[in-house]
Amino acid sequence: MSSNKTLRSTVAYLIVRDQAHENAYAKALETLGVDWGRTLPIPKTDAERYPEVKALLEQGLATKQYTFSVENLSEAGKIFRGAAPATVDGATLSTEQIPAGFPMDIAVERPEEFSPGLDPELLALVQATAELELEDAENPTQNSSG
Amino acid sequence: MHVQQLINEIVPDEPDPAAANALQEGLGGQFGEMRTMMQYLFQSFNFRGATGKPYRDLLYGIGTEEIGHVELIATTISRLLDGSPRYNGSPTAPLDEPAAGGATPLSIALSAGNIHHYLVGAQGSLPVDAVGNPWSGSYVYNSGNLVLDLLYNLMLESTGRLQKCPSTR
Repeated sequence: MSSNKTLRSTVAYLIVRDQAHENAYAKALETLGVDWGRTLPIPKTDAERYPEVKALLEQGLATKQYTFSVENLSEAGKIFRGAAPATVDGATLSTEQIPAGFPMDIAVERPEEFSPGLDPELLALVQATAELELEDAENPTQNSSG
Repeated sequence: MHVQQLINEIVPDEPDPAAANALQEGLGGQFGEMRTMMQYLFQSFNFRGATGKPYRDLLYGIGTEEIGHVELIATTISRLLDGSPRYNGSPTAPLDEPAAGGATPLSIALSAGNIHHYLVGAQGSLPVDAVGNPWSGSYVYNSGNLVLDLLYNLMLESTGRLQKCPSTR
């Protein structure tokens, strides 16, 4: 549907990480004695026919799980280890602390999205009103009519 | 701790408001990243039984990763919308005078994608799905039964993956 590279890069990555998470939950169910494949048949999507997905799968991104545990106290590796569930035959599961990051740049300004702001005359009026209100708050009786 | 890096590279390409709107389902839809993030984190927060700590830690790790996915997909939507009006006002007076014969800023909003990307947001992502339904905390499910929660999460990830496949064909 979309040939847009921006969409494809993000969608391909999320497809592969979805697979990693499927592996995590399937493996966790196996440790609890659940035959998840019979309980919940999951259709094979052949997502590897998309080149971007294939490249990430070849990096082993679908069999890796991150702990994000700064003190390394996570015990997720007690579950996410050994042979991967049935959908990825032969692969071994492993954990890492954090993934490698990529640059996070800030987008440029888009003037058409913002109102031009207050003109000088209106700004002066706002300031005068604010000063009057401030004076009133500091000296409650001075400007009060009641 | 927040690391000022994205979890994956966003490849630059042309702005594409329709693609941006398709990705809104993956961000704020029933099977989107905001739901997986909140579901796994709430399952972690509510977890009972110290002997099950490896399961809680697995949920915590995946829930934390989903925060990075929300960040990635929301930023991607923002990039796909950025500059999509194809509006180039002059550098000195970047907003054309109304009725002066210049280009109309944001005129694309009337015909492309989700009009809220221009009216409510500023060419940026929104916590809604692809038809504009706001993200809902009611999507989040934590039964307290570990096997049921894990099976439910497996369904969630499989459905999320299936929904993403059409958009890359």
